[in-house]
Parts: sequence; structure tokens; C-alpha cells
Amino acid sequence: MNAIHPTAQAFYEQWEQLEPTQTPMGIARKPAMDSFAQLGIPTIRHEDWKYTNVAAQFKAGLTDITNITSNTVDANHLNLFPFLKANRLVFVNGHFSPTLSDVIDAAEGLVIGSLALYNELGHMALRDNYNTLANNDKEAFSALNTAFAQDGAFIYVPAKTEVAHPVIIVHVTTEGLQGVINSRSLIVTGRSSRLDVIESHQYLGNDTALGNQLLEIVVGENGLVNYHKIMTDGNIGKHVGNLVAKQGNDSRFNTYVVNLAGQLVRNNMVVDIDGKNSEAGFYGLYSLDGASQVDNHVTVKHNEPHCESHQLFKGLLDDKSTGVFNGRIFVKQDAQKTNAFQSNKTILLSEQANTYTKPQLEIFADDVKCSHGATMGQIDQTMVFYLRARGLDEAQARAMLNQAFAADVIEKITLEPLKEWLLNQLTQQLTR
Amino acid sequence: MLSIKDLHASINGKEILKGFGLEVKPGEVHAIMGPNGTGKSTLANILAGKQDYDVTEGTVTFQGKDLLDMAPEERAREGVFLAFQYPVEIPGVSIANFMKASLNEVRKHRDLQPLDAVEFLKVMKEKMRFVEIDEKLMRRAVNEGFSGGEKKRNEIFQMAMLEPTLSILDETDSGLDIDALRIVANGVNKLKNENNAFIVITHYQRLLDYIVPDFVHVMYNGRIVKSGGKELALELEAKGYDWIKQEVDATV
Repeated sequence: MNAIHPTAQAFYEQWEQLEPTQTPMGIARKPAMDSFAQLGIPTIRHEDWKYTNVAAQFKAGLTDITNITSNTVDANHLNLFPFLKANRLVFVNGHFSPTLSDVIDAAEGLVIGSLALYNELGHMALRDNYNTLANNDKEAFSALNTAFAQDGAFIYVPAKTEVAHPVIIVHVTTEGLQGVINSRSLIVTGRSSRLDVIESHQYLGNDTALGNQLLEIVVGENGLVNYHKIMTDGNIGKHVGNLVAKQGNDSRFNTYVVNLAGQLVRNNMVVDIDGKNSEAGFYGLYSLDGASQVDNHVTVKHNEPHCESHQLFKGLLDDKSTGVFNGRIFVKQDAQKTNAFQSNKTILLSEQANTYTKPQLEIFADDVKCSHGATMGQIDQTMVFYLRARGLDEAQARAMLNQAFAADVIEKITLEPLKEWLLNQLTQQLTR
Repeated sequence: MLSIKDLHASINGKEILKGFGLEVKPGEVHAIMGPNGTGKSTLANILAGKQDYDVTEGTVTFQGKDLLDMAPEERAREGVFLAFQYPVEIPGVSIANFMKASLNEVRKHRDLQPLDAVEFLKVMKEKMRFVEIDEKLMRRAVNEGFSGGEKKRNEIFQMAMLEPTLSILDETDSGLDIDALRIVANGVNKLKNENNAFIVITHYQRLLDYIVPDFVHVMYNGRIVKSGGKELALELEAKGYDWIKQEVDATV
């Protein structure tokens, strides 16, 4: 084996102390660790991490702290989306908290619970699907996660089952910890099923551990999964999120990523459209101020014909905030009749705000309809004047225009109460 | 009501208005005509408060207050309304939302209670009928994808909603077919009363068949060079603007 990458050294030594197990999670650890030992933490010289200096967060000797089991958590931080009747799974520092969780939906074979538990129990769907989508050979954070993660959400929706209420997954990182918390989730949905998931991350305190999360989603044939990642609180720390999904025939998968805050947030999203006649949607809004940074990387792989994908990402950047968008569409040679669209629009509200955008298309089929585009600019003064000429003051006019610009993304959400709540959060943010 | 005295204004160092003067009293309709590029739209924009212009000399008093001292929104709340020559498209902002915020700001300024959603809707529907706008438009984004005629009617609709004291119509008739023109003119005529006033800026006499002015002014080279009654508009229609240009240029 080659020399271990310097940034992986401390992790490697720590990993050697982990007790080996023959569970799906246990078996996956070694190859992942070997890969991470080679890759190390990506620096800004790595093309995919050019604008997000996550390596700066990894001071020498930083290690995984997922082993540390929880401190007490103020329940106030957990009552997220109280307006939704929902299943709630709460994880504290990467570990399931049964007392804080509440599962209300029941159906034959339906599982909404802890990955660690069903890993021990040897659930069939977990065995068949765990770690099948994660790209540990190339993605350092995936490999790191697979090597260390202890727990996370496991949702299994059997065929022809519609989960009546959304599943809210809350990850809490408590105050005063230094290191990396790896949490791992898996969602497998069967044929003709339906699931709504809302995931949120709560970082308590200012200087918290870095969260490295990996979520694998398998969308069954003719199924529908709506996944929402909502980060609206002021206190969202350093976070790397990896979403990897695979879709079957005739399926629909929508991802909504709303960031109204975030110290340093990286959202990686990769979907393989592996079935015919399927649709994938990616909708992202990042409305930021202060020194927040949100980086969205989306990759859509069209592997089969007659599929459609949409990417719409919008940024409203104030103060010294930074928004990054990198969108890729791959269309394989066989994926004829693909419709794939991508758009990234940013409004810069301050002279110090930064935006970077990189839309990419790679098309190997010849009968497709694809488009990509990016715009960035300031708020249109002729619009502001028009509104002022009707009696709105400048602040009102700007808030109204910004709201209209950003609401466009939130309007795509089909979960009505969540949509209304987010529109309201946005208004509050834009008028304060 | 409105008193403009010796107004000089420039943009990027180029003087556009060169000693413009006008007195408007309640109940009056003034038409300002003139060839392109004589400063008609500049005048309208300055009155509405667009900040691209430098006023170098002169005064504008509106109901005893210094108009030039006010922010655009203050002018709107005080009762000045500009129907734009080129109404801007505002994606994502519905007419209903926009007008509700706008009307309630104006009402607040007049010490009136804001309208709740039900009351607002009632007023809005009434005014939409008034300018013969399809109610479906109110849920659409402001001016987005509107035809030229719809945009201009939307301006008149907003005017009807806000009930201004002084309305300035900047070439509202340009590019309108005769049906749309009649609807716009009817709107203005129904809103007209002894307490409000209109300044109708136009390039064509046709509009003045429908909105009958008390005064017609001819603007040329940044100021009013000739004033008269409504018959002056007919004379301009028959003879064009060249004779006026010649008259003015001869005296310089």
C-alpha cells in the first residue's frame, strides 16, 4: 500500500482501533478506509473544491468523534416544523435518540428507524443496498463516512406503500466538540411507493464539530420520493452533505435544498437515472448574509432513454457571503430523448458578496434536448423605481423583488405547509 | 396644485430641460405635445422622482410642498402618479400583491386604515372592471408577458386604484390600437373630477379626441414654446411640428 496521505494519518490510526464486525456497515469499512488513506482531505487545488476550503477546517490531529455518545440536548432545538404532523427521527452527534424520536406511521414491512439497529438485525434491503451508491473510490468524504459512521436513519418503504406523513430527520451536533461527526443514512423505496423526507441539521453553538453526512436513496420503480434539506437557522456550522441516489423505471425523485443560513455548507448531490421514463428535479435556494458560504454540487447522470431532469438553483447573496454552484449533466449514448435543463441565477446584494457558477453538459446521445444557463447581477434599479413610484419605499421594494426572485424555487415544493412556512421564513429574512 | 418654474435639468452633462414652466390647477387637463427628443419624458421622469437627472435650476411645487425634495415613494403617497411610457416587467410579483402593498402605503399616508384581503379584493375587482382588464391578469406577474395594450391598461388600472391628485400620462397612447386607446381614455375620463388634474404627454393628437384637454402646450428644445386651447392640437395634427420649429429657431 502507498503512503498514507498526511491528512488521513490520524484518522487511520484511530480507525485501526475500531472493532471489526461482519455486518454490512462493518464489512464496508476497510476498503473505504484504504481509499480515504490514499485520497486525504481535498484541498482547493482539487477542481471540485476550488471555492470551498474545507481542508482549512482540518487542523492536524483532527479525528472522528462519532464514538462520543450524546450530551443532553435542549428539546427546544428539536421541535422543528411543529406545524407538520410527521414521523420524527432525531440523531445526536451521529447516534439515534429513541426518546427524542417519534414514529407515527405503520404499515406492513415499513421501517422508519435507526441504521445501526437494522444493520445489527441484518435487514435484507439494508444488506442489498448499503454502500452500493457511495463513490468511496473517488470521494474522500464518502470514504471517510463509510469508514467511521455508526448510525443514521434507515427507511424502508415496501412496494405499493405510501407513507402517509413526512419523515423528519434531525441531526443535532452538540456544543464544544472538536472533530468530525460522520452520520450515515439509507432510504430504500419499493415499487409504486411514495415518501416525503425532510432533513435538517442543528449545530448548537458557534464552534462545533464538522458534520460529514452521507445519504443513499434508492427510488423504486414507479415510485416517488421528495427529499427536502432545509437549513434555515442562524447557527449552521461546518457541514459536508453527500446525497447519492438511484432511480428505477418510471420513477420521480425531487430534491429541494433550502439554505437560509450556513457557516460553511457543501451539498453534493449525485443521481443516477437508471430507469426509463423517469424524472429528477433539483431545486436549490441559498439566501445568505454575514460570512456564510454554501456550495451546491449537482450531478445528474442520464443512463436511460426518455427521461427528464431539471436543475434550478438561485442565490441571494448579501454581506460577505459566498454562493457556489456546480451542475453537471451527463447523457449517455443510449439515453435518447433526454430532456435535461439547468439554470443558476444569482443576485448579489452587496459589493463584497461572491458567486461562482459552473454549468457543465456532457452529451453522448444525439437526440436530446438539453440546456444550461447562468446569470448573475445586481437588483434591477428600473424595477425598484417602478415600485417606489407606486408608494413602496426602497427597502420594501427590494424585499419584494428579492422575495419574488427566491420564492420561485420554494414554490416548487409540493408539501404545502412546508412551502408556506419557508415563504414566511424567507420574508422574515428579507425584511429584517 | 402644481407649479413648475424655470426648470433646468440635465443628464450626463447634457441639458434636456431649459427653463420649463407650467401651472396646473385642480380640475384641469393639460396636454403636452411636441416632436421626439424635446424632453417630454424627461419632464415626466423628473416629476416622478427618477434619480438619473440633475436638476440644475428652477422649482417644482406640488400642493405647496417642494416636490424635488421628496423621494419617489413620498411623491406617490402625496398623490403624484406617473403612467410609464415603458412599464417594466417584474417577474414573480403578482399584480394583486403589488397593488395591495402599494395601496396600503398610500392609505397609511392619508391616515386611512389598511384594507384587509377581502376589502382589497373588492376594490380591485371594481377597478379592474373600470379599465376593462381581465381579472385573470391580477394573479399574473406585473406586466410579464403582457401585450403593449395590456401594459398600458395596467397603468391606468393602478391609477384607478391609487386615486392620485396629479396623474402624468407619458405617451400612454403610443402604439395602442383604437379599442385599447378608447378604454384608456374612458378610464381617465371617469377618474377626472374637480379635485384632480392630468398632464397628458402625447405625440399624437388622436388621444385628445377622447381626453379633451383644457390646455395644449407645445414643447420644443426643453421648454414650452406655444400654448393654446384644444384647437392647437388640431392645428398641430394638420400642419406638423415644422412650423413651430421654424418659428422658434427664427427667434433664437
